Amino acid sequence: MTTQYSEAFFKQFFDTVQEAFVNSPNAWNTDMADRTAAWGEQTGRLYSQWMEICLNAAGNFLKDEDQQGDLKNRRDRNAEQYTALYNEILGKYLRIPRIGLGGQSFQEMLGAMDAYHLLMGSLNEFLQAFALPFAASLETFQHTFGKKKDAFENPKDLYDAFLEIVDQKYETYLTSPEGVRDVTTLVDRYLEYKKRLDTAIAPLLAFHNIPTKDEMEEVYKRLNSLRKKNRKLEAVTRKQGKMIDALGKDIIALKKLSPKKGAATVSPGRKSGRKKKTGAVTSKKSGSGSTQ
Amino acid sequence: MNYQKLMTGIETELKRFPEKVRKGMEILSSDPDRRVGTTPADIVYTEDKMTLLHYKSTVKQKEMHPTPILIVYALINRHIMLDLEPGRSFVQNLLNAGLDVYLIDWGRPDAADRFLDMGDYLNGYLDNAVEEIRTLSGAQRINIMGICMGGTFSVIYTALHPEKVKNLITLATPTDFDVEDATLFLWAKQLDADKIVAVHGNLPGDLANILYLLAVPVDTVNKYIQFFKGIDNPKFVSTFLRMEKWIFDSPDMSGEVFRQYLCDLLQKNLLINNRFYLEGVKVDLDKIRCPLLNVYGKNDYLAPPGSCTPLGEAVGSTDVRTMAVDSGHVGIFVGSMSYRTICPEISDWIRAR
Repeated sequence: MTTQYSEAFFKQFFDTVQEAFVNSPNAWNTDMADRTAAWGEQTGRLYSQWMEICLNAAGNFLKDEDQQGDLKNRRDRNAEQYTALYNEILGKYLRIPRIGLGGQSFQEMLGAMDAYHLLMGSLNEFLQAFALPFAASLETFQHTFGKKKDAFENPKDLYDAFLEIVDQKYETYLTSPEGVRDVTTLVDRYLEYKKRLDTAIAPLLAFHNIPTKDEMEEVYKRLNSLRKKNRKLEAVTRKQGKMIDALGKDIIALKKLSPKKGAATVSPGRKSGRKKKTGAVTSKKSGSGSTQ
Repeated sequence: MNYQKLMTGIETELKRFPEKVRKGMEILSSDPDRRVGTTPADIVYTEDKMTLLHYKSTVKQKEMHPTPILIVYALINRHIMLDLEPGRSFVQNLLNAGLDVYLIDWGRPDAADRFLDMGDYLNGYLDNAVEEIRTLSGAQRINIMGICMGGTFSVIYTALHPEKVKNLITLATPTDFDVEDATLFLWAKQLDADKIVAVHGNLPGDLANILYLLAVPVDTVNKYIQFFKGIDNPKFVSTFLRMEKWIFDSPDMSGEVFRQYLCDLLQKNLLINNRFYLEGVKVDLDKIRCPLLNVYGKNDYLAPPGSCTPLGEAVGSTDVRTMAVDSGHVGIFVGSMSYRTICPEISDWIRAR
């Protein structure tokens, strides 16, 4: 039904516009005016139809048909419905992806803003809590100074005494369960904000063909696994290199130990036998060897 | 009487203050020298972003100690703190003591290094650096000096490769993380490493820095107040700026290393209990049989004494010296006590072995 309406709508719209261009600038007649009015009426009907579909989609979202589904699932479902509608009615004519932010992206952006406000709230709470030890230090210091005015001989003594009080108050606060909780909550809120922001940005990056964080992480993971393999291979190469060096040294040592040519104690028969064994391939070598 | 004296003192300070600030502004606008890491060194090995530096010796060849020493710095901040400025350099002091000094510069990990884990760092980069030093020097075993987190790395490395380490020196090195009074450890126990890594990939240096500074808010602010005390002294200003450069020059830490360090070491405290596994191999501290010099600062808030001292008991070595110094974390490496006491102690200890 929706498709029929939309097709009729666009056909009529394009026909009217085309005719207007063909006949312009002086072809504005009664017939065209009637047809334009009809087109306007049709447009109104289509608009009503469109709104009805949208309201149905919104209705499903608000009805919470799925009792198990959480808010995010419902939002996702809603976004899917809108996207399907968009593709059915407009997408096939325009042949381009949805213009601007999709419903889901919009929700994610709102989620990031939400997380940002939570972070700011948390930061304010932390700063308030963080100021308390200082305020308490001032009070303690005034009390101490009021009692022992003559105890401080110079500004440095006074300052050091104040520092000691402040330092102690802050250490107590920062190592207390409240202090630890305040700091870690702040860090956690910051991470939550960053996480939501990354999620919201990812579709925009994908839309512009820029690799997203997750896509790059896959690349880095693969790169690291290659590095590890390379490291293992290098270790093997190094080990074998050392073995080769050691063997080379052994060979040199053995050569030094072995009797020199000419003073050989081996029998001529065995020597000639060895030559035979090496054959033609080594004949050149043995020839050059004999000249040495 | 004292009260009157105090008020006069405050008045005098306040009168002096504008002139001090004026002089300070002059110094700051004259672009004071803030170069760091100026001790000459050769790059002898590189792998990915890691660089192995070999410092040029300052003594004659025959006066040099035959066993090289490798400094393993932390993945937090940079090694420049060890070579802050000429005359205030931990590295220079070791060189002057006749040691053959190598240092690992871990570089600056980026998103591509997010999956590098402790195995890559210790069995990969560190082990390759040690191999390179062994090849260059001809020494079968070398001395390793680990600093802070680099110390923890050195301990793990020595337990896994005892045959390559002659002496182990740990400076401000935490190995037992179940310490009640350590602010950062308490926070770390509650942090969600998986979430940090999922969101950021690597641990952002800035995030780590904020937490370090937040753990000691009074020191953080007081430092800038103290700066005004010496603002009219060009040398003081230069040193101050160098320290600032070091503090705020925080590279990111590889995500997987951070996850392992936080979960396995800080939160589960596996290392000191001999339950930590690296690439499937158990890290048994009892396998550390080489001499150990364990130096810690009595006022260190990053590596509190309680987290450093148990190492001496945990290792299998019979030659263990635990040395407590009157300083904080940085004071072990920078400052007159470091150069006058700690460096000579270290070089004497090495020479005796």
